[in-house]
Amino acid sequence: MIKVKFLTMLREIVGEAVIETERKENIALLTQHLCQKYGEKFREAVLDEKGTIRKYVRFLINGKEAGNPETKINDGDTIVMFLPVAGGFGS
Amino acid sequence: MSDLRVGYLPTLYHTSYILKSGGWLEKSSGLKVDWELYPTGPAMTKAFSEHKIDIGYIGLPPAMIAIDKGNPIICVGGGHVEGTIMLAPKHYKTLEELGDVKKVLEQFSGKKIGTPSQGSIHDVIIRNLLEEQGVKGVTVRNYEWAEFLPEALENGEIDAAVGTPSLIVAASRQIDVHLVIPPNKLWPNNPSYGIVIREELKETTHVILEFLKMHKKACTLIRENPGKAAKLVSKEIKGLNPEFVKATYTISPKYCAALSPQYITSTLAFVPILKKLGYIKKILGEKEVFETSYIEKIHPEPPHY
Repeated sequence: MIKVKFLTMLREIVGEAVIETERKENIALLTQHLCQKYGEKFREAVLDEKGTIRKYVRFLINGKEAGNPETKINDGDTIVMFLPVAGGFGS
Repeated sequence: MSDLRVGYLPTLYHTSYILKSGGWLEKSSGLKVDWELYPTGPAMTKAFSEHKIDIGYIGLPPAMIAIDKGNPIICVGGGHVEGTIMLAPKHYKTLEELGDVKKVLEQFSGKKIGTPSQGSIHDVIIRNLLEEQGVKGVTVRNYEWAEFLPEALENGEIDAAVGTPSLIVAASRQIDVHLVIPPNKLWPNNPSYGIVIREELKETTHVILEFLKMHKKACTLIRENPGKAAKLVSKEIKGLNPEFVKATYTISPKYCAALSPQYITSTLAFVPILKKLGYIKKILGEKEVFETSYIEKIHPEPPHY
């Protein structure tokens, strides 16, 4: 199992701050799973028209930024997912 | 092959999202534009040094740090001032209630204030203010991402937060917070962001002027019709509703493309602090950081900050 935390706008869209779910092999597969679970609004927020993860969506695995959609997920990992709308990193 | 490569940050009140969403540059000038998103100011200055971008939206402290290191970039336009706010849960009193910045800060003695990463403009401003006011015993805790601050406030990990206007909008959707120190009292006229170019772009003056013309138009739209501007931004960032963007615009509505004397003076006031913190080695002067001739052509009227 893994833990997925949603921050700010994504938390509003999914209606919960944290969930536990079955481990998926990588970020791309986890995102697909979450799109199925949370529906169109979530899908539109995180995927573009071609189904690719939008550039600005951020994923942290155990506090470290996931480099790309193929980044592996291990059992017990905590993934934080968010859109950087609260100011990101203070430019 | 693009005519212009623009670097931008995920900061929703920069005009980048408006220009990009509306295809303004392409439509007005026929230029082929590539937009490249960078996670941080330092990541963007690296791209400048590697000739990957020609122009960018960036905070002035990282730009000055890069200039100090010999990166051939220069600021040619403003964008926004006073983009740093301080917020706390509503049981803390505001500046309006206490009437004195020191008294507001003293409420956090023995407590923690959260802010984005070390060296960010927000971090520099709050550390400087605590020192200037002689307030002891406050821990400043840095977070790599501002998005963690609302949650940290919610679970009591921090007692106040300092960050962008978007931060209070995001936080107030989760918890009961209010502004305890408004932007103009934290650091008057502090440069929230500016438009920076690679020196080589000076060879194509018309491109700089065209960019600044559209940037000015977008600043005017934010000031005069924030609702319309917010809709353009939310078209570009899916999942973000226009009310969120509009609320962010209204926290510190000081949007303008000009490089006002106050903007320049306030920027240069960061120089000794950046040097003291060890981020830069020399005392930079106005001519090393700013080239005002382009924006003076585009924005000859008085600034709107």
